[in-house]
Amino acid sequence: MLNVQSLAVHYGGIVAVRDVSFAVARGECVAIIGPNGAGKSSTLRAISGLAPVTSGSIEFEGKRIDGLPAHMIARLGVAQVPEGRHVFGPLTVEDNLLLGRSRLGTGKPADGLERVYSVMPKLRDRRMQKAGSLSGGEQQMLVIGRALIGEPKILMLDEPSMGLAPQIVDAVFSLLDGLRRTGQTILLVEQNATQALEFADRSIVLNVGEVRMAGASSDLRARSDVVSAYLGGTEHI
Amino acid sequence: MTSAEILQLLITGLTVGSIYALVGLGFNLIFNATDVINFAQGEFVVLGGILTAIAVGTAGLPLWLAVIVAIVLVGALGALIDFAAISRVRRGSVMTLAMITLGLAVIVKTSLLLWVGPDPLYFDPFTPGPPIRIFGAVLQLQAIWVIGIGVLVMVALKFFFSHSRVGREMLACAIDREAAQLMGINVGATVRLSFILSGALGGLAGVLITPLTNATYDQGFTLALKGFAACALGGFGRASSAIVGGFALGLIEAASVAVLPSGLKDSVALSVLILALMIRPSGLLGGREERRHTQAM
Amino acid sequence: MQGLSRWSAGWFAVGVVASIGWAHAQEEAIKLGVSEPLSGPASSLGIPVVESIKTAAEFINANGGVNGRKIELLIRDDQSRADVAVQNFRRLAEEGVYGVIGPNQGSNALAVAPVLLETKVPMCGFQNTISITKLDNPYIFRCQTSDTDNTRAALKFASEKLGAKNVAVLYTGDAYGTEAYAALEAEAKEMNIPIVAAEKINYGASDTTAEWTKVLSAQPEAIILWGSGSTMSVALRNGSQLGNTAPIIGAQGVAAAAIIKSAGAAAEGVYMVTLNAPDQVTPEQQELSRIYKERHGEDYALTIYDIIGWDAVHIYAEAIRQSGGDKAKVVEGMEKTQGLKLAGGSYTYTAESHEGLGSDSVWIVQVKDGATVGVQRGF
Repeated sequence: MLNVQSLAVHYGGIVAVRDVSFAVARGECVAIIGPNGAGKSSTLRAISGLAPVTSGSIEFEGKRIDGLPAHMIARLGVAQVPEGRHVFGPLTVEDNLLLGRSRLGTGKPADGLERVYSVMPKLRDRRMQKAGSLSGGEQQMLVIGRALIGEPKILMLDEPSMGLAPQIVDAVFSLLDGLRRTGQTILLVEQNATQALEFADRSIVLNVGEVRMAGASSDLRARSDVVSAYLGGTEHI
Repeated sequence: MTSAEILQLLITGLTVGSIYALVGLGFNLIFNATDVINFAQGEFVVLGGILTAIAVGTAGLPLWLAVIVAIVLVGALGALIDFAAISRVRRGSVMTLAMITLGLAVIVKTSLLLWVGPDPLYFDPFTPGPPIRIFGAVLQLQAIWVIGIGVLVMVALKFFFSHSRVGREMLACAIDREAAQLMGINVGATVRLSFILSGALGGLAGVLITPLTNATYDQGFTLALKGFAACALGGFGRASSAIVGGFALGLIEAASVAVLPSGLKDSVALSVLILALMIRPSGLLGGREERRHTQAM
Repeated sequence: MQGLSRWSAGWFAVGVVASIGWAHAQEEAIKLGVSEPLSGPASSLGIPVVESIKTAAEFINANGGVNGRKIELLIRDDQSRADVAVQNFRRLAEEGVYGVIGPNQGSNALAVAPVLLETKVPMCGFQNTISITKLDNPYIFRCQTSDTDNTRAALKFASEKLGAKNVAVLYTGDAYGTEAYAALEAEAKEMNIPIVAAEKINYGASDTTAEWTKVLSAQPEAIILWGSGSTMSVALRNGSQLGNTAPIIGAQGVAAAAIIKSAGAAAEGVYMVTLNAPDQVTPEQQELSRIYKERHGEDYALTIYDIIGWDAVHIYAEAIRQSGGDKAKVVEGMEKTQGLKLAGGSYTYTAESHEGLGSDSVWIVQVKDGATVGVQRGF
């Protein structure tokens, strides 16, 4: 479904991604892990069109998408839950969700809302509240809901556990787990390698903009010493 | 002063306030999509008035057609400004963009001077006839048009931003451009639409107020200043705030004439604005602790 | 089209300078400088004035010139800006002009005043502004009526002709309005006419109902309106909308065609203090009127701009004749001007007074069917 080949991303003179290739198949759940500055976020941003692709190619459902403007990529069914959540703070929870349907153009928004509210009942209670007034965990749920309401073909999440209390992180991952079981294709970027390796079917370890290891998450878990080395010693599995 | 005279000042305040409010509504539109204060908004208004005056006077079009032509043309100018200047530096800071609009205002102003000259242009009020008398005070018929359409536009804009998909998307673009793109929103097209709408709205304002104020090439700055003050007084970002701020400003000016030498009118109005913003930085309608967007509509 | 006329005026100017210069190079022409706004906000005043200046120079040259010498005009656009006006005056002095005609705006006249002291070249300015001849500057000559005379005329007309026992004043907050108001105040005191209300309008204001409300609450028997620009037509409309029935006497700045036109019905019946009644051609205006009718059609009525430019050239021509063509003695020659009858009236300059026209030249006109007609001349 998604095929990244020899991707490189430079910001001015700074190389964020040097040479990254991987693929995500339909229904699969893939995690990109690595230390700070490994190029994980830049890879996601390149896929969603927010970061410029310096060289390499990105194909989605057999079609080149690198070079397309971000909103066109979104309309193809690539949804990104950005790092740091980025809710539309001054707008209501419901408006945030409705904005998630923008990529579908017109349609019956009520159905989508119902579906999200049934998965995340808390959002229903707060639907008329300003998104900016929600707690961190609620905001994270909201941005995931905002991505889901647009019925994405692939859901990409950038550090969904960042800054959240452990029990809330668990709640987020159990939500993602539920999604996976419905066949949702997921690409996850995480610094929390333990969570990611437990959750994803396959994982990719990035370091200094390059792929260092890749394989089934269970295999990588078995080689946790090597993975830890790439994660810079601060992260232990 | 007699009660009739006080009533007259009240009506004057509301009439002038409605002019400020209409200008302020245009400010809000672009602000809502870009966070940018468009300093060319006053020129949109002047151009709307001048085009209508020329279409009615020189070209001899019926008023309704002249009005449509003027609104469409000023809307097109809004699109042109975005296409030729704003969109080229879309990643520039809000300050850069505001400076660009200031430069564009000067260009429009000097072009108008070269084109139509310095003399005031004018056309007759929409409905002919003597002003209405209320307990000895008079209300001009054109003022009813200005107030009525102003309120109508405000209600329409309020609905647009809170209940329509495009309005919601426009707000999203200003709040978080990247997140908006991730929603599949074409930020460029949305911003352009905001310029077109605010051009058209400015044109409409010019059409409505010219029978009261004349249209002169150099009026734009004063109008923009008052419209801006109306928005700031009411709180940027809300359609209703431009209306409330506009009326408040108009009434303050009228009241100041009643008790002070009338030459101080402008300074009194702007002093009140500064004072109000010191006490309530986010405007009369915005909450104290909330920042600009926190009550977007 | 303003743009077109601006360009054509500019090119025409170049043409006049070139052709006159070419034909009479060997005769040593008398150079007269012109610094007027041909572009910018005051261009609607400057363009017709320059046309009339050129008409006068052509007329004088065709009739034997000054002491047998031709007049050569050096026309410069001051762009309605004080800094450009200052530059023009310096350049024109370097180019050896006998005198300069212009500028048009009061603030520009104040800006060029120090330059005149340096270059010792006189100017003929078209300002009503009282202060320009009170600067103790021997090189400034007024080619207009002073607002001292104009305001006196307004008050006299109000009390003697209209029988008003009191007046109210609406004036703009710029130098034009405030100086006139000060003069009105002093004059009214002397004439024992109470000013029952006086309201200042901001220059460029787009609504004056609040000021009118205050003025009308004093129930004045006549209203004097002193200012210029678009605000004046708004003021006339606001006054009529508020049901004012007291007669209005407007300043020269109100008597502009564009203001009368945009005020529409509200201008009907309004009196204005000015320099010319278009319906009454004086003997001194006949030559000029004939030329303009040939040029612009039989229905053409002279405007104040047509008159003041024509007069300024004739004043210089007479002064240069008086001084025997000596450039250093032009100011002396000017100060010998005694009752010189020209299109605008009778000009007198002395060492003590550079006012030129007196109150005998002031016209009060009234708007009838959108045109102004003469009511009374001389106060």
